[in-house]
Amino acid sequence: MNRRIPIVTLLLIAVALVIAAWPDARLALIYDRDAILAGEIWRLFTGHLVHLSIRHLAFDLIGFGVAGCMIEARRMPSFGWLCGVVPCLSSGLMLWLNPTMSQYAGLSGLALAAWVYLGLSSLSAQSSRWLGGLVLLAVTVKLAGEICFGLGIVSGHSLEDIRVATTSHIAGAVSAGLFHLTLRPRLLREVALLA
Amino acid sequence: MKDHAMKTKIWCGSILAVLALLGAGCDTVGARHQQTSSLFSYLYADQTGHTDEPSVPVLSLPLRVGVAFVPMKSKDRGSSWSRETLIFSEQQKLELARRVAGEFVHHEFIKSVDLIPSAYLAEGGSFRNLDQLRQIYGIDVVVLLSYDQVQFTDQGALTLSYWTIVGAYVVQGEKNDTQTMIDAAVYDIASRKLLFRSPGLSEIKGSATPVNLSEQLRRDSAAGFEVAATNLVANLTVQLEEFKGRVKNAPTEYRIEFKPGYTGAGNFGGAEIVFIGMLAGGVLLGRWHRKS
Repeated sequence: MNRRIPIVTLLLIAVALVIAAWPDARLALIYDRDAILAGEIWRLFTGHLVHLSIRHLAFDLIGFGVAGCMIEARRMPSFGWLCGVVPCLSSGLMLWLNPTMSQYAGLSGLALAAWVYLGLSSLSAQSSRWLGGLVLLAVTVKLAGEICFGLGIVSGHSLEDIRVATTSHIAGAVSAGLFHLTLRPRLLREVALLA
Repeated sequence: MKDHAMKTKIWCGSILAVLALLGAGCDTVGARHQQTSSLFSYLYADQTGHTDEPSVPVLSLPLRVGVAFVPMKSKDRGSSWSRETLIFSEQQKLELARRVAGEFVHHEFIKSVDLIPSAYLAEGGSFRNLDQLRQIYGIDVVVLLSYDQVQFTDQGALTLSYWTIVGAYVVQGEKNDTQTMIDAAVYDIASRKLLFRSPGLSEIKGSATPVNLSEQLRRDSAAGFEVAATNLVANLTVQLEEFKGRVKNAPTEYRIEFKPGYTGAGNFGGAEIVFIGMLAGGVLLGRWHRKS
């Protein structure tokens, strides 16, 4: 059987690990509202690769890594584009909707986008609809838990005012949905007709 | 008579020459060379014997930190020895300040670290001066670096006594030894409280002979500052971690407030990771089942 190496997933994981091992990079790459507004726009993307602790890094990498490997193993199209577009879109929304959030860090927004993309793509495929349904149900439960109860906060940071960045997660999920629709023009037309 | 006058002149000249040689020797052999900038003199110039009492500082996180060297006393700045053979130059001070700043900047509760030029610190400026720095730089906490180095070139004066912010620090030396202490005291300016301190010590054993004394002492002085700075930075790493632990685990000792603006993050909790593991396991099991 022809196995495919999950290049995009491994590349992003490697970059996140390098940043975690290089503390100076964190300062230069983290999503920092003031710095972005001052022109450091690369932080819109790179902020998603910065993590605040080993636990934060480990859980985000597991969350993103499993979804990314499953997507690339199933040869779902344009995953690289998704990984490029979603962080920027998500950061743009946070910049607009969360003026009091001075910093953001973590791959969780992109990880949720990957899970939504996996779920929607699996639902479209005939063979693995159960997987798609299960994944989308789990994502819905997670987002509902965050919105209603503030679940998903990074623990162990009593010296920093850290709050769960629900905007990033919702933005990731919504943009993955839109991305999935743009890849399927027929489905997009049907949705437009329904609307 | 003329011979007698001549003899007297020769004797007097000889005695003067010997005295001049002895006098010259006192500058390099019989003195105790010292370079110092005292934190105690800077903060409590008019309160002899003061030590800080423990109390509850209010930390407004994330902190903005300033790093500065306490100014030398003007009498030391003006002395011929300090002026001509000062080993701990402004360049070296800046380098050490950068290393100290580097230890702070990686911690999540630190917003920024500013290096404050020595010119902004007035001799005996005390907390009034620190309040001005707080206004100028917008800092909450200041790391005050001070140093004391003594080279015991006289057999009779072999003790260095340095009055640190937590009491006297006394070292015994031997002839031609170089004893160095660099001290980093971290103060919360608003509450005027010492958060923690970190000393860096070094002792360079004297190997100088009267022939190369001046040159060797100069080399020992530079090496003393280098070793003390390295020890200070290593100590500071430990002290910072301990301080973090104290702030987290002893909320009665420090009151924490958060400045406007928060950090957003989010990750997968234990339940989600278990779900992901079960899902991935199920997919792999299904694939293996189909194959077999």
